[in-house]
Amino acid sequence: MSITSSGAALTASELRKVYGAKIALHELTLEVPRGEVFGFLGPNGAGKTTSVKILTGLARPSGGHGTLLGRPLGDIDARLKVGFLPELFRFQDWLSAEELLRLHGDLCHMDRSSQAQRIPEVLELVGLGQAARQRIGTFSKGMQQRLGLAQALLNWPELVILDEPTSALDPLGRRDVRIIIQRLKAQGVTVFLNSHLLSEVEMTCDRVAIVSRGRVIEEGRVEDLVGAQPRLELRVEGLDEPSAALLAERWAVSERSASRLVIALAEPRDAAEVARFLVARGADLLEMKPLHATLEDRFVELVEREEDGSLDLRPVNAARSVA
Amino acid sequence: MAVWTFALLTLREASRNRIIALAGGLTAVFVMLMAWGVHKLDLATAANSALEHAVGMAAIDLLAFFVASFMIAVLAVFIPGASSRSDADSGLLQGLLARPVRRIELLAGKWLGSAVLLLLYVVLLSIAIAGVVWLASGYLPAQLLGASALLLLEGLVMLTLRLLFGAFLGSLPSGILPLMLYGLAWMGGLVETVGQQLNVSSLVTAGIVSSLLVPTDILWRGASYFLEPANVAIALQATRGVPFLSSSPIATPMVGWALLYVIVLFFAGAAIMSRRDV
Repeated sequence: MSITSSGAALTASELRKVYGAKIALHELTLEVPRGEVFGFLGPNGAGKTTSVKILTGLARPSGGHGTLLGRPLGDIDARLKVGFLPELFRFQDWLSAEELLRLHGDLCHMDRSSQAQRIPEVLELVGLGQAARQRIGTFSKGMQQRLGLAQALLNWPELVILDEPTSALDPLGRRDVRIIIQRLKAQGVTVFLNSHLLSEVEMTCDRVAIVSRGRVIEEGRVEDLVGAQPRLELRVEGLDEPSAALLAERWAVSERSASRLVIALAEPRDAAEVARFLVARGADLLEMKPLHATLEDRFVELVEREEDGSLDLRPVNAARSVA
Repeated sequence: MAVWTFALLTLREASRNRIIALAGGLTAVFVMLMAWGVHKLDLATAANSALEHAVGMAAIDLLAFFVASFMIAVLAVFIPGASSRSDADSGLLQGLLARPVRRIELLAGKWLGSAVLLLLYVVLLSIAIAGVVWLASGYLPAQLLGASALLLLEGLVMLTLRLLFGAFLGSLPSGILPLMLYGLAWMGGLVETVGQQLNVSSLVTAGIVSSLLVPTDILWRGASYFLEPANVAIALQATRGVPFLSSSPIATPMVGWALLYVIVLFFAGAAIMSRRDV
């Protein structure tokens, strides 16, 4: 069965998952183009693993739809070219590494000769070349996660979904995974990476989506999110409307609530200019601080604001509906 | 095809599982003990009439198969990996079911692999028990094949019950429930026998209903008839029923019902499994 090689690797449109009274996923809408390394971030319980399970066909959505390599979610043929490393990885510990990969090769309709070529290749790639005949039950947690990665890469996937792929790995193992992801990207493979390790995501991903309480609260290119452009957070009182309008004309005001303003600056020294402007217009400048040095900062800020209800989700939704 | 892959996986798991090895070892001990008992009985009854000797050997045969029937039922329930729910909860199924496979293929593979294992067990156990008695006395049940087939079907009923409960219950409850139902069927068989002896039709009906709900005991009683020498069956008929045994062959529709029961239970398990999240 051939799979279309054009279009998005993965799409989700208003995917919803409800467990009784609990909403695990609240209208997830996403599009991951082919060849992209996409980071899927969010705090614990945000609905990341639920999303991954729906995308891989392990869970049924309560609403919405999506596609995997151009086929509707749940279509089993789409999974021929998908590799998946679950967050809760556990393998048949009475098999050897090689036997497990042969089992997965059979399930992916790989013939014996492809398996004979590919299995040593992927085991070598994840650093388990010497452990091919070893029983999985004797593996450390880190070795099992490496094996999970080998299993996900076995069928020459066009899309690899990795759910916390480095949770059991030491820093060297994490670096290896980073290198593997970069290599996959170079080969044109789409990678959907679900991770808590934001520094890693920052280093490997082209684009990210941040989810909180079952919905996407931010989505964009990593450099845009971390603020290639410096941003300034201000607390101002007594700013009249004409002055606010003038401020918005001169600088890009990205957020505004009662007394809080966030302004994107062309360059850091513009901060002094903003301060002078506000003082000259008679406003009380109570606080002024630079924002978003790292993806982690941006992540924490967004999630906290979403949780306390001060985040306006309209821009994200609007951008998506236009797209 | 994924069904064969999963069937082979089930067989391979069983071949490497300690519980199966232990069950095999204990079965071997059981057969050896039985052989010792048969030998002692043979010596003790050698002086009796040929008929008494033959009846003694047939009784040993029946008792040993009665125990075997229970062992087959227990093995069917404790075949490893029978609870899909517990495998899903532990994360064992996530990698497998994200592959291009249907859940019914996983369940069918487990069923098929386990059924092959049960078939091997029933064949070996039947040969061992009948062989021991035959060596000691020359007695061989005329319809050993029929009896073994019914014992296998009894095992398949237990296996399918286990897979059905395993689709939504963890290892322990999905293993205990079929055994409780097995006990219930056993009780139903006893109630039916009492009803026959005392001529109480409602008790006989209750026994028949229990056989329809869980046909394990009726299958054993069908097997027991095939194991009895003709003169014993005739003697039993005169008693209007004896607990645990049958003096008449199992009705063909009941065998059909047991087969249908297995099929319906299997598809019910597959339907539950395909609706649940992994």
